[in-house]
Amino acid sequence: MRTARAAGPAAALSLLLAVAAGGCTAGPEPGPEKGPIVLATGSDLSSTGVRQDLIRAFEQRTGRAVRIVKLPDTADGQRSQLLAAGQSGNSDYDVLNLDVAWTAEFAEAGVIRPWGTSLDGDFLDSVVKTVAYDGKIWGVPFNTDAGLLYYRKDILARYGHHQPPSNWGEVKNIAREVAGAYNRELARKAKGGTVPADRTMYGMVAQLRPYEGLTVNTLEAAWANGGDPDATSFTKGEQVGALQQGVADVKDRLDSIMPHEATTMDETESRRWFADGRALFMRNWPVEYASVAEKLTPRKQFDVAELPARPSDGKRMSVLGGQNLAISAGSKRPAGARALIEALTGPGSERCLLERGFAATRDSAYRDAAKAPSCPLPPERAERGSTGQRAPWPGQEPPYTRTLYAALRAAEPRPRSAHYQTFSKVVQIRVSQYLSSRGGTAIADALAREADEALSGRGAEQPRRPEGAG
Amino acid sequence: MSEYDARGKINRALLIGVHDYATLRGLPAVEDNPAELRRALTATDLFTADEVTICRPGEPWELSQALTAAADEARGLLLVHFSGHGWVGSDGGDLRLMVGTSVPRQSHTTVSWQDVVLSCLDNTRAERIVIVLECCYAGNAGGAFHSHRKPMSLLMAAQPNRRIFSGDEPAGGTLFTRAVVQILERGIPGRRFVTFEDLVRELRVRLAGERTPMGDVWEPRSAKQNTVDDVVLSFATSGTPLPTPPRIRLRRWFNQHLRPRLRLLLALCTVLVLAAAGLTALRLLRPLPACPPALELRLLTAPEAEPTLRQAAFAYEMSELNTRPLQGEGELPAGCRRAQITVYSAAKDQIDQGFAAADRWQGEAKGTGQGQPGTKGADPLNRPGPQPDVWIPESTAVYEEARRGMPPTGSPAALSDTGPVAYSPLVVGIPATKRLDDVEPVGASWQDLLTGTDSAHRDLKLLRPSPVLSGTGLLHTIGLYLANDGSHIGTSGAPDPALAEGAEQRLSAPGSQYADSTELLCSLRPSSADPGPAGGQRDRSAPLVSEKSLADFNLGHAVGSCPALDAPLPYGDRYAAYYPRNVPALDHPLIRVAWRGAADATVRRAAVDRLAGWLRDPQGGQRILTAQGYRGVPGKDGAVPAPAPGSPLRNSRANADLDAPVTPFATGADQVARVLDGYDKAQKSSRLLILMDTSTSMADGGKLPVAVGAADRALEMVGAHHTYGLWTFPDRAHPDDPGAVREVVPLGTADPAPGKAALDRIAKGELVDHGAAMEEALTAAVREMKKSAGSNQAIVLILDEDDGGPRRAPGVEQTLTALLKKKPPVPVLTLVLGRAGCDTFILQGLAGASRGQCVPGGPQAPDLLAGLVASIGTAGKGDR
Repeated sequence: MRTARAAGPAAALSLLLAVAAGGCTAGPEPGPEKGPIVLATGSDLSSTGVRQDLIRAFEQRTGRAVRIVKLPDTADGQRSQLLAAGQSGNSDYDVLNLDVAWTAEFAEAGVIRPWGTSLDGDFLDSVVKTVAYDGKIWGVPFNTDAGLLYYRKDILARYGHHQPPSNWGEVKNIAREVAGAYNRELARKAKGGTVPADRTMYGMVAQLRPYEGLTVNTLEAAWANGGDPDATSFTKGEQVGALQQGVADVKDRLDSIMPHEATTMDETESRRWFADGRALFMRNWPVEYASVAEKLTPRKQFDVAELPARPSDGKRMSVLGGQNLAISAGSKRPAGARALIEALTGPGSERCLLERGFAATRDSAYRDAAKAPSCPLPPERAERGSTGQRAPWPGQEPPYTRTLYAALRAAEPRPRSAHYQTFSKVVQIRVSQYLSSRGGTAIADALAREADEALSGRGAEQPRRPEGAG
Repeated sequence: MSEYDARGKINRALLIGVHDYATLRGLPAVEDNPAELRRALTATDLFTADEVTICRPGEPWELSQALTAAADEARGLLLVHFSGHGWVGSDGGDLRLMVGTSVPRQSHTTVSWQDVVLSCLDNTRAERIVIVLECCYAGNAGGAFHSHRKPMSLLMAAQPNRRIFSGDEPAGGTLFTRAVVQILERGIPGRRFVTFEDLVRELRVRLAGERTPMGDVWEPRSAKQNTVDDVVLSFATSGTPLPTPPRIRLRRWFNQHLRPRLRLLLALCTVLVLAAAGLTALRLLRPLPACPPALELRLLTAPEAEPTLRQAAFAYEMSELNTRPLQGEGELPAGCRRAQITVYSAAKDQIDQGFAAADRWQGEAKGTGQGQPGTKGADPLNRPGPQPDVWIPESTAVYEEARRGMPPTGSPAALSDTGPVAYSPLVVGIPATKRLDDVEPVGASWQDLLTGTDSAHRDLKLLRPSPVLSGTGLLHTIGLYLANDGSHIGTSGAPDPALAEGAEQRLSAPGSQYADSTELLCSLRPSSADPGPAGGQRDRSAPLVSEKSLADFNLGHAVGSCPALDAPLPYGDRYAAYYPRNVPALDHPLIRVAWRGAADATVRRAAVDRLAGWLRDPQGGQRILTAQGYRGVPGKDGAVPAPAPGSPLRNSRANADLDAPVTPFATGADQVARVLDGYDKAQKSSRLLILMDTSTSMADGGKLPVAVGAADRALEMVGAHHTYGLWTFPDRAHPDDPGAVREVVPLGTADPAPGKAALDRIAKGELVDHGAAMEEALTAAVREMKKSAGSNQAIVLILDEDDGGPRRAPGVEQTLTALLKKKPPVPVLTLVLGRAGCDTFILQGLAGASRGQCVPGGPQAPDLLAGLVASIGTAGKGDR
């Protein structure tokens, strides 16, 4: 600020020029946009971190301020507020950070506006699907995600398994065999032959609490049994079969190799079990890798693989996670919004995201370090404390990058429907009832019918009797 | 007996035969059964060839799909024949039909007779159903042969608990099917046709000489439901067959030739009519138009009520009321869902703050950032969350209190109380093994209960959800103060300060309060892995909760963050519900919230009113609410209905008392204010020291936001009588002194603003890159706190992990432990975000020596900690 007097007018002039230049490329502009660009997002963005740093870098480069509105912590709460406020015409947000599953609903509800141009070819094909709806592009992929199979490399090797399992059947068999042998050995060594409950090794943990994570695990199990990710109906013959076999597989794994508590686990809780050494396998997102690595040594004690393949064609399909950035339909600063989104999703920014623990949405970010775009953020300052954020793998790609890249290319989006949320609620309610039942009853027909009803936007076909006491 | 003649109707025969098994022994004889049967059925004048379907299922869904198709199509007779392996559970029940890939004891790979076959057949439109089961244990099907309304006849190949296949049968149709075919084809001498009863009788005669593979007699069985008729299965006779009557031939010709084209003819006619009727009618023929996204409603409630309201909201979304076209609402395509609901929850004080600063809430939602930044609740959209359209607090008292905190005019949120949707009486849980002497569970006054549980009697520790954080805690406090002697609470009258003080004396010490009643009960849940503190505390505690939460606890349902158990708790682990007299019940009023400037205000209001009406409808939401353990709202006669037959309260192991009345809330708004005032006054002044680890490792793995959030939440608990300080460690200025702490906000501060500002700086990354020596820093903090003689003080310690171990001077730990045990007590409430959680020797020791508690990191951590902090100022006399 020492040279503020001298630099002020020059900066103002260059800013004016920049705005004018922006106006030429972004179409007719009624005049310079006033006020900061308002970005609405969940808390992960507004706390310290790389995404925050990218926003600050944008502010410094362009001179435009960005105001971050901190939305509810839960994805359900974020969606509910953004959608309802949008429907009420009650919001002046410019940029919305949206979960990938919401594009269709927000587009249909008129809460976001079309992006207007196509995306450049650098974005991963599978990821682009999550912003495409009704023949248009509705936003730009910010960060993505694909499920991985975490496994205890050290323990599996000790019992003679040097490769991760290639299909779900193997997961179950290996988990049973190794966890059994491991626990017997523990018992032999333990005083009195009893192992404390919190040291017992389980075969696997996953996210089976009734929330979005259960829908994700259910879809992956259905796809692994031949389900078609692009199917729009679950009542067609093959889809019913895949769905039934999928939920039956999930239950079978729960009953045979998972702890009972898996039905209350989300990403964090399942990671805690795995990192505490209480499970051999875990299905989870790469973002948990760094947390696991705090307790277990990467590549030695644990490693990640793509999800097990489906036997029929060898595909290893995961559900795509992540977030997209879209321009709010009511934005009064669309040019600024666009510029911010472009900056946050540019090749350099995506490389920063990858280096600091997120899954990037651009192909170029995954190139070898020498050929990849370089991250424009300043390298780690000498004193970590001054930023509060320590990059897990400063200046280089994280150890799981190759696996993640392969998983992303095979990953598929969740059903792209304006009624996805209701579909997910149906899956959560029915599947969790099924998981906690004593088993046996086929639920696929009822589940498939209700899933189709949910996706159609309509109600139950005929009023059904309530089924017992909830 | 009359005979049902299905000829000429739309009949279906589904012939299921499984001979090839992946894991079970093959049944070569079965392979020919379906074809043989088809020949017999079509040749004897009952079924036409296109009415018979053969199914050889490999997967369970193939069978259920074929069954559903046949059941959907049949209008006259539906005949289902299954031949293949059967399997039963060890008790002989639960007959399962085995398809090609079925595996014994993996029930999801099989088809359940009861759950799949019978329930599917019950939905058919056929007039009569005949089922023939030819499998091992077929006779066991009779035990579970129930039908709600359909006339069904069941033929079982053998008596119960018999196998009928040895696996060595030759090909060419099984013994049983061959007998059936012969009877159907040849007829019975002297009869014009073969009925179901004839078939059974004749089979018994023919099989009388046979033996089952187990070596005993072979005796087919039959059963009927909802019918006394007999059904004709074949028109074969032993003599010259009678010609088919012309009437039936005509109907068949119609069915076979005209009916398939009927749709075409009809469609042609329709097209003509439509052409004449014009475009309006044409719209009807198009495929259903796509539904737009439904109106999103935000439903805010208390954490306790969230799971039930979630279920109810979803049922409403799919209900007929939400999809029925409305008059005057033409733009929505027919059948589309009109509203969708997101249910979420927040602690009471955060909701109060949200409404009190509704202008900020609205400002954040609009993105304009308007509204005065307050010291409390800085991000209302983050906490409590979305701006609600509907708010269902636990009690009207909570609503009254929120109203009191709002500015009289100018708030952008307009609240209207539409009345209760569900009740739950307040109870005191008394350990089932320690029932109170001379105190009745229903009808005793609070005074009696306080006496019965005091140290001279049962010596139980009363635990209450915090009145600040929880509506249940607030209403319990109102009951304690105003209905102390068991008299009816009038609409006026103030609490007696002495009574309030006396009552608060019993709710003693840090750790006696919880964020809500479910978390309180979760902390008392017996756990096999950890029989320690919870088990010891359980039978010495008496939780002040709601009837519904206590029933959930006793029945082993999910409570708070504790997952559901397999079974109800054993008697000795349960609590009996005692209902203090004339204490108002939780009444869950539905509050409609209208936000200024909403373009869709009218539609939104109508949508909320429809939901409210449905929730109170005995045929709608009430069924779900009562099935979850709530009491219903009064019907038209004004009486509160008794719990429905399916209510968990009726389960004797819920330990609830159905005779306990529901006392409506009639307390005035002023009284609520006075009770809270009395509660405040009954608290002693207290001091809180927040000691926070700000080493850089806190920034890893998302720990920092949790830590700052928890400290922030603890600060919010600092009330009128309370002061605090915020210290951090390690101290950047003294890198070599492990015991150095930074006094960011000095002890004795009353204004939360400097604390908030300091936490904000920490959140933005003001961290120190040294190892954090917890024990040394804590020693400094404890030493400072012990200088004061006051008993109501505590240290909140927030850390990642103790890094000081390797360089620690000898004797530090002993000094700290000895210091902690000295008077006055300074409980250490620890939140651990690091790897090991609370399971380390040192942290367990800290909690024990200081009579504090340790909370591991997690989504509930901030609120758990807040509950502990809230109780520091309570008037208790410390530990008992």
